[in-house]
Amino acid sequence: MKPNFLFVAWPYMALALFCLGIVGRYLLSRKQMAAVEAKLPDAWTVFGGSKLWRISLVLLLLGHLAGLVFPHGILLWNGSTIRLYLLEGFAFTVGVVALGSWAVLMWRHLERSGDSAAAEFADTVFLALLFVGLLSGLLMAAFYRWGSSWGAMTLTPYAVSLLRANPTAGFVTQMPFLVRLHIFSWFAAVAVVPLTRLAAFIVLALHRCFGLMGRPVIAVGRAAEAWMQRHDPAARIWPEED
Amino acid sequence: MARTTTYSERLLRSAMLLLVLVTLASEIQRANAQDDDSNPVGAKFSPDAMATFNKRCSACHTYGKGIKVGPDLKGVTERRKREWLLRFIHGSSEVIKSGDPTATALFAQFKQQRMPDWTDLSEKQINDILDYLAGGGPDIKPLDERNADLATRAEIETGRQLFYGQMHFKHDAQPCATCHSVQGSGLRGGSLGPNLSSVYFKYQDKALTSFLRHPCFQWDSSATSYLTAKESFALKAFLRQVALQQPTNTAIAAGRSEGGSNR
Repeated sequence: MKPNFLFVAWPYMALALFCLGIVGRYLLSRKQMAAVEAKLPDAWTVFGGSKLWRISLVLLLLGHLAGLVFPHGILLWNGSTIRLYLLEGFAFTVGVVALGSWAVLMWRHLERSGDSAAAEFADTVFLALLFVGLLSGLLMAAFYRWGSSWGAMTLTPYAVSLLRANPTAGFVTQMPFLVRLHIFSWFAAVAVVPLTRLAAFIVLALHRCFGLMGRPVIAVGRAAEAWMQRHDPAARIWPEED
Repeated sequence: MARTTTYSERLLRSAMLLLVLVTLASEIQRANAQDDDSNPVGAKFSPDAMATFNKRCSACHTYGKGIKVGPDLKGVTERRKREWLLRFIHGSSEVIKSGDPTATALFAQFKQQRMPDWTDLSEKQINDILDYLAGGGPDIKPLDERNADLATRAEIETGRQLFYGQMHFKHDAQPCATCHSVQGSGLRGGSLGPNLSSVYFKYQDKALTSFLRHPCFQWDSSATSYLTAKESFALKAFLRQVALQQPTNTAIAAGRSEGGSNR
């Protein structure tokens, strides 16, 4: 595939697939939220995993987010060799823990049998993409040292260019295969999420969010109705009818 | 009532304390390694002097290439007194009228063509031009274009510190060791980019100088400055030093020095 597709079009396509998929699932199931809620324990069994899995995944996401939001801070931190070793060592350990936890999760997932073959397939594809993302990240750290520093100089500007709707693929296309695979696999994982059981969490969160957002509107409507009842404007508009 | 701390709380506090100590220690190390760039080598004349010379003098004078319209200015600061030069450049017509023998002889020698009176130039500006000519004038190479074999030990050490990030670049460029390593850098050098141990002998002074004038990554497209000439030269000198430590390159260097150096 051409680099322009992989690093210019594909990220937006993945995000569009994610958004459309989640909205589609929400529209299909908005009147059956109880059924969606009933699926949560099942989804948790598949993706919840151990405490280590969840912590390591959150730490990895926060680390990537920090690189995106505070690239200069990361570079400043890495200005000292000791701190660079600390950060990279910590990130690598977290990555190893995440990969180990993923293996346990996948083992349990393969042992159990679900009721929907399609959901099982989507879950497996998503977990496989997570594996590719984690493994490529670890191999990158091992073979291309100090990714937290060079990533802040190359991958952060790329991510920023994506957010600004002006993608600069040049930052990534010259990178080694593992770096490109890492980026591609994470976008692919995002695109697959709506097809997995994990989507139930997002759909329910969206439903509750809409519910919360709707409350002020309902409250205003009720207040307006009460005011209308107290100060009946009809009497002022058509007094002769009294 | 005093609450007893749990093991995990103590562990967390110890980790935080360690983190603070490590941060402090490395900041102190960094502060000690700051480059004092207040007196950059090679800045012995005002940059404006070169521009003024090119604009006002080079049309009629050469520097070491013989007579053009007026005399060759190479060695002019040794041939004439500074005070005389100041007077002559500021108002040559007055000096000639006054019957000054040198001025009169020059006037006769150069077909009675009088040099314009540069009355708008201040004494400082003229002195700057004369300093520029005394220092080598147009023959002066920009600092980063000097050949790396002219580097002093201190410049090589500066290059090493810049390479590893022990000294910070003036315009916030990232240390080379972020992506590159050299022989003997161990784990300190990155491995995203190629190993630069032999890069000096591969590209030589001219190409390396040209390369070091452009950033590896266009981090900020609005940035106009990358490395200073001093930093660029120091890096080049360090890379030459590293290259010379390679057994094969030492033989190449020996062969080159026999054939004469390229300065």
